[in-house]
Amino acid sequence: MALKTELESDLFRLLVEGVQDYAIFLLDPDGRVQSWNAGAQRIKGYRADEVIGKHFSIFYPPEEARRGKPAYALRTALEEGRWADEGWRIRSDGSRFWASVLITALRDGRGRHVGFAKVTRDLSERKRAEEERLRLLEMERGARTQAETALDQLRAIQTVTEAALAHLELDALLATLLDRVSEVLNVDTVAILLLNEDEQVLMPRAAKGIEEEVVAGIPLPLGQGFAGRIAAERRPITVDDVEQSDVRNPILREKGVKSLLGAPLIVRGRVLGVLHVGTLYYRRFNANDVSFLQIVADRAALAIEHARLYEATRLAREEAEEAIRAVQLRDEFLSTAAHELKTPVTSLRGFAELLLRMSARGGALDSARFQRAVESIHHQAGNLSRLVTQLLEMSRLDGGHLELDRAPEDLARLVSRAVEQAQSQTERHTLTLDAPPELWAEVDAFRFEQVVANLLDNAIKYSPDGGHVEVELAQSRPGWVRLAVRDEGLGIPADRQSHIFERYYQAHAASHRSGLGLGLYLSRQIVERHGGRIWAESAEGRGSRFVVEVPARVVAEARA
Amino acid sequence: MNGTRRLLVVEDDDSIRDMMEMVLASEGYEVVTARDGAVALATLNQEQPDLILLDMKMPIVDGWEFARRYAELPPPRPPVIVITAAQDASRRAAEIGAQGYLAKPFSIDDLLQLVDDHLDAR
Repeated sequence: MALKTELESDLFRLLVEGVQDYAIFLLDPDGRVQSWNAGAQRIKGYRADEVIGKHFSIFYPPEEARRGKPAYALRTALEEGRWADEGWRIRSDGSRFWASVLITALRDGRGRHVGFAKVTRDLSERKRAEEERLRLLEMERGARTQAETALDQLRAIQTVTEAALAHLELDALLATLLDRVSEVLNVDTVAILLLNEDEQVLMPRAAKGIEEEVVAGIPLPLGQGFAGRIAAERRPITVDDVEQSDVRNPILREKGVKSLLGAPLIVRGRVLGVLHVGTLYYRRFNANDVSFLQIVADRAALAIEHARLYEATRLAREEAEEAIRAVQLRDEFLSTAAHELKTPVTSLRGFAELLLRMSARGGALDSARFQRAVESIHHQAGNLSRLVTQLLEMSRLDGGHLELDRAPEDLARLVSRAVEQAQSQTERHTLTLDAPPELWAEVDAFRFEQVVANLLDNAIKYSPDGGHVEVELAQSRPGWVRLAVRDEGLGIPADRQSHIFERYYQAHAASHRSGLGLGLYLSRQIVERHGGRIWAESAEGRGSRFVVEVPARVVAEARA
Repeated sequence: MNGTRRLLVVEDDDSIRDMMEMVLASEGYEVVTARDGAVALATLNQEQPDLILLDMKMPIVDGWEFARRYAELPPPRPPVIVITAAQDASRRAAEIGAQGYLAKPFSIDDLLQLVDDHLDAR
C-alpha cells in the first residue's frame, strides 16, 4: 500500500511537473513557493531554483502587492477554502500578463493547514481576443449607427422629395417643405426667400416660426445680410451665435433665434432663392447638417422650378382656352349675324322681285297687297339698317372709337317717337307712355334712341303672347333722368340676369328668338358712356323691367 | 296651269311668310301658312298640301322637331323643301331627309322653279 501510495504520489508529481499550460505550484502557509512545475516556468519565466522559497507576492504588480492583495488572497482561501481571481500578474522579466488564478487551501488528514495549491493560467491571448471582439463589436455598433443616421437622412430627403413631387402648386409646395424641413432637421424656424431677378432682391415667400418675415415682406438686396450673402456667394453659411454675428434681421433677433444655417436654392446654375433654418437654442451646425440642408435645398429648388413651370403652363393653357372661346364666340356671332341679315334681305328681295315681275307682265297686285308689300319693304329696310348700325357700333366699341355727340335733347319727345314707332310694328302689344311734357338732358340723341328702341324691341320680342308694355320717363332725382320699360313677357331666369348685358348673350337663345345678342350690350355701353347705368328687374315668367338712369348734366340746371 | 295645287309655307318671320304667300298666290297656287312647326302639324290634320316649304329656325316647334314628328305621320306624306338662312342649306335638308332646299335670300324665280320641279316629279 505504502509503495503504491508512493508510486501514485510520484506519478502525480510527474504529471503535475509535466503540465505545460498551467502553472501549478505549492505555497507554504505563509505564502512562500514550495514547488514549481514546467508550466510555472513557462508562464512566469522563473526557474525552480530561482523562485522556491520566495514569497508569492513577487508575482503581483507592485501596487497590488503594496495594497496587500496577496495576503488578502491567502486569507480568503484559508477562510473559504478557495480564492479565484483574474488579473494582471508579473513575469520574471517584469512584463505583465493576464492571469486566471485559483488558490486552494491544503489541509492534512487531521485538518491542519499545511499550505496552498496555486494554479495560474495565462489568459493574455484570450484577453486580447476578447478585447478584439469588443473592439469589433464597438466598430460594428458605430457602423450601424452611421448607417442608421444615413438611413434617417435618406428618409428625410425622401420626405422632402415626396413633398416636392406631390405639390405642383407653389404655395402648397412651400408650406409642405417648411413642415418637412423643420421636422427632419429639428429646428425652430424655417424660411424660404425667392429671388426677384429683375430687381435682384430676395423676397421672403414662406416661413415657419418666423411668419412675420413674410408678412413684413421686406426685400433683401443680393449680397446683403445673412440670406443675401448665401445667394450672392452661392454657398451654405452657418451662424453659431446670431448675437455675435452680422445678422441684422430684427425679426430673427426678436424671435430669439440663436443659431442659423442657410443654403442657396440653385437649379441648373441659377439661384432661385435661399432656404434657411434656425434654432432658439445655441446649436453648432456640423458639416453633416450643412450638406444635408444643401441636399434638401437642391430638391426644394427643383420642385419650386417645376411648380413655376407648371404655373406658367397652366396660365398659358388658360389664355389659349380663353382665346379659343373668344374665337368660338366670334364665329357663333358671325353665323348669327349672317342669319339675322339674311332675314330682312330675303323679304326685301322677294317683295322687290314680285313688284318687278308684276310690272313686267303689265299687271298689278291688288291695292291691299301692294300696300303690304311696300310697307314690308320699308319696314325691312329699317330692320336691316338697325342691324348694320348695331354691327358698326360694336366694331366702333371694339376699336375704342365710340364717341358721343352730346347735345340738349327733349327726351319726352324722343321717347314718345320711339314708342309710336314700336307700336306701329305690333298689333298684339299695347304700349303706354307716362312722361312729363318736356324732359331735357344732354345726350347723344342717335345713340340714346338706340337704347330706347332696343328696350322696346326686347319688350315686344320677349312677350310673344302680347300684352302691355309700360314706358315711364321721369326725373328720378335732381339732375338725373330715369327711363323704365316694363313688359309682361317671359322674364329672365335668375341665373341669366347677370349675363344679359354681356356681348352676344341671348338669355333665350335656345328658343330661337331673333337678334344679334348685341342690343343690351350696346345699350349698356352707351348708357355707361353717358355716365349712367342700366339694370334689369325680372322674375322668370313674370315679365321684366329695364331701367336706365343717366345724368341730365348742365342743361337741366340751366333750364330749371 | 298649276291647277289648284296646294302649298304649305312654314315660316316664323311675318314678312317673309307674307312675301312667299303673295309670290306663290300670284302664280295661282293655293297657299296655306303656319308661323311655326306646331301650327303646321295642326294644319296637316285638316288639309293635305302637295308640297311643304319649311323654315328651320323657328320658335316653339322648329324645323328639326317638325320633321321628326312629320316622319311619324302615316303616308302619303308630301315632299318637304327646306328654306334656310344657314350657310349649309343642303346639309340641313339632308339632316331631316327633305327632298329639296333653298338658301335665303333667294330669288323668286328660283323659288317658283323649285316648287314647279317638285310638283312635276309627283
